[in-house]
Amino acid sequence: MKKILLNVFILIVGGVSAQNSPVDKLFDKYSGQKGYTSVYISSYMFSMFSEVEYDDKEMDDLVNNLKSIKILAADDISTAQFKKDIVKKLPLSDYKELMVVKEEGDNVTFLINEKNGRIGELLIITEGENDNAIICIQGNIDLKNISKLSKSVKIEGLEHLEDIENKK
Amino acid sequence: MNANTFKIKVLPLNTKLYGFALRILNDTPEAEDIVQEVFIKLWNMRKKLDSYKNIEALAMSMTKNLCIDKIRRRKTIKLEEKHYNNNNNINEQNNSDNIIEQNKLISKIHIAIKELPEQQHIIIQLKDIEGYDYEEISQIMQMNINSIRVCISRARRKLREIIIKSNYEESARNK
Amino acid sequence: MKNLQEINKLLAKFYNGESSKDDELYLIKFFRKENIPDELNADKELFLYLKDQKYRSLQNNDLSEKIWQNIQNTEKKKKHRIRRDLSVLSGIAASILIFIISFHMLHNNPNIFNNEYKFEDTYTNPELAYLETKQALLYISEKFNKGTEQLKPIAKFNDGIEELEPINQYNKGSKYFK
Repeated sequence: MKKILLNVFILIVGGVSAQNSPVDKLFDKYSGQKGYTSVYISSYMFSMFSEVEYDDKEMDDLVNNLKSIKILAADDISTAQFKKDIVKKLPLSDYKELMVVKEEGDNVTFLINEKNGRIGELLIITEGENDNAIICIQGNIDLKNISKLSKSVKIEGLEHLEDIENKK
Repeated sequence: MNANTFKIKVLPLNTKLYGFALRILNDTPEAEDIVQEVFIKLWNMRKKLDSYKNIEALAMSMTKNLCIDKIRRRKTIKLEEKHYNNNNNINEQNNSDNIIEQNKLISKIHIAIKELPEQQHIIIQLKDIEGYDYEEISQIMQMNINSIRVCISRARRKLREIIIKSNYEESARNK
Repeated sequence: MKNLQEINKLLAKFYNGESSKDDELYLIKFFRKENIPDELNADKELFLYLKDQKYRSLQNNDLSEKIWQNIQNTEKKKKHRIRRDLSVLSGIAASILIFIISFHMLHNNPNIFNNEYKFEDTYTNPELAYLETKQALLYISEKFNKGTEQLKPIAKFNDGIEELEPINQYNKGSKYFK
């Protein structure tokens, strides 16, 4: 009887830890380091998005189901260095490779963490001359919604990008 | 009642209880078991014992009840045994006959008392052998005094009858 | 024997269950003597027997020691049982307590047992965060679509197959004509 309870206890603890991403360790390590910029947007911040006035259904659909976004971007570091620091150290075994999109100068790898038919985490690795970054999105991710986003907001998206410049 | 008082007041009753149970059941280990059982019960209710006027009567009553239970259970077992052990019974009977030859007087009445109906057996035991008076017997048996008197009367008469009868048979044999 | 009348009276009382202790004592004394009339033989036997038994009853074994031992053993057993039950109970209680506490802790602080990496929100302004998010998501979306576009031919192929569906139905039906 005691053994059963002890095991349940351990399972709860273990189960909860699944909420964190396997890449957290890496993010944490490189966050403050020279040459790296990190961005973190929490679920609290996500919940505040409903107050933001932009009327964008596709964005809302997507964002409503997300928990957090973590971005680790390398500014002044060569791709080779980035590869060595980050890519090699990624716990790739925890993820399933979805696809790789190669264009001139860029490689973008999509990885997902799937549980019970749902995608709980989307990991995007970009390697390229200009962009080296990893983006980790956690939440209930629907790839359809991701696809829709850029299709519908082709022009608007660019407009808003200007706003960012203004606000900063 | 605390443990010490119990030891001093209640524990000594065991001789009477044992004697009584032994004579009713005629079996030493069984009688001992019953006495042990009665004392465990008394011990468990020792806190309430102080409110009892006559602890001896209570103890005897408990003993009596347990003895009756045993006797009744014996009867059912005996009936079952008879079914399977007919041969053995014959041998036993021969043995007891020998004993009777040796202790004629005592055995005759001894058996006679056992042949009495349960209640008469117990009451005559309590009155004529244990020496309790009617008051006490009524507490033990939870019967009224008159019923007890009638019972005793019947028992005594019956015993006399049996003695007379067996004496007559004996003299007839000797002739 | 003038006593005979008296004796018979007393005997009658006895057999009615009405004799007193003194009466019975008197009768016993009488029956102890010699020369009892024959008709009172049976009564004599009865009285002597009862007296003998009474005497024996006073010589009972004393089981005090044994009984006291038994009582103490029973008490010990009780204590053991209680102690055992208590330990089982406290074991269960402890387990439940652990369960409740851990549940509570996890409920309030899901990350307390993990190495929580405390990430701080980069932005304090929701609007800014929103826009940054959108930017990132758009980038991702575009790349994603680029990748999936290559799969369009496959989609066309699927459509083609669908056109052929009626043939399947035909096949199903023809089974019954074999």
